[in-house]
Amino acid sequence: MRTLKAGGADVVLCASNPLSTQDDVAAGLVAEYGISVFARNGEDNDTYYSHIEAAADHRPQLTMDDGADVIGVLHAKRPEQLSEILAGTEETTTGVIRLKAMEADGTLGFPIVAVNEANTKHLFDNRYGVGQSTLDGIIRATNVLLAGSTFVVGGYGWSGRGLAERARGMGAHVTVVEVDPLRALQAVMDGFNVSTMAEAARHGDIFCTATGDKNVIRREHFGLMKDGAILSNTGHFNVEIEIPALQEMATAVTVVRPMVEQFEMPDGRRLFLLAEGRLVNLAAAEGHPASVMDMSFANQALSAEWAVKNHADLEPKVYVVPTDLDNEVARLKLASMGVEIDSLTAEQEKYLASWDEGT
Amino acid sequence: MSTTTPSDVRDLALAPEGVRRIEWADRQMPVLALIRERFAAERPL
Repeated sequence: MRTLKAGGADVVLCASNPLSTQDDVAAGLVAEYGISVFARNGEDNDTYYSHIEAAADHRPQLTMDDGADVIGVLHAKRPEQLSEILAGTEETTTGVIRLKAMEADGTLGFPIVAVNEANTKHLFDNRYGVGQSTLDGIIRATNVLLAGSTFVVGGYGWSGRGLAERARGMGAHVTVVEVDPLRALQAVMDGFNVSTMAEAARHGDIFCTATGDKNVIRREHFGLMKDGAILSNTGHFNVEIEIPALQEMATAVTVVRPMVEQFEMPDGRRLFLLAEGRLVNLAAAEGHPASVMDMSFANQALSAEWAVKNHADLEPKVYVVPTDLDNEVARLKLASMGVEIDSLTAEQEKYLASWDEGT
Repeated sequence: MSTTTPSDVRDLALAPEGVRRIEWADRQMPVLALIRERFAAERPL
């Protein structure tokens, strides 16, 4: 927010998720930095959407989304504003999936830069940021010991693989569930157990979904789970676990600790749902460490600048972050860490550009 | 604490704690700080 403001933008902020707001930070942005913030931790759905409407009332020319809810509201309820918007950016895998669907439908009203698709975003934020903060959220919520547990990861995208690697590092036996054969094969060769969710459901102690799709863990799986299984999600929306089915099946629901709901099944088994199935890293911990968000936010800022500069040439499509911006973020991050790298010699450059030199 | 900035947050009295957290996070975001300096000079937005 401070960077956008320094760049001359008149910024309004709303939450991207009802449980992710840090109330003290929100207050600090308002009082110290004079930034309009409409967000309260734990706000109900109506308040959440009224806060998005408050941001939309500002009549933005640039949107910066984390899950595409602002873009969703603008398209669904305020089509007359779409022509005022030069461009938008999107941070998450989940949001990019939604926006590509809108592009395919022909309903997307302005150009989008998919910040998530930058290498310096998803290869770092999703992998190292989600990986670490998700485990942090699960541990803070439950104090569970990962060593020796069976940890089931739904999805082997960059978030899923970051999570799987880190859970293994803490001593868990990790099972990956995938639908994509290439990713499943990568998971196998990375040394993980790979199975269907129906199979994993019988053995898992801790489950975490990281897919961007709905009902990854659903009714048929809840019936198979062990007593005491812990269910969590780190995808952007609370749809990856079929919570309505869990509520229907349960004979009693009790909050047993902050962020932990116990669902008692008719046969006496208890399943524990963390953070209402919302992203556990934001709801039960603090989200990603700032050091990795540095790169994501740098991509956001540079993408906003690029979109404003080039908006006249852009169509209502989903664009990837230009490679030179992406590389610039990596270069600056390395420099900030005091890491120097080599560059190609003239001879090496020539060799790479030629085809006539063999052995 | 009073402010004229339009907002709806839980409690503005939490601001000092929030500012400390923002500053803590900022120490770990050197790339963004460089971009912020350039933005302040060039005002691209």
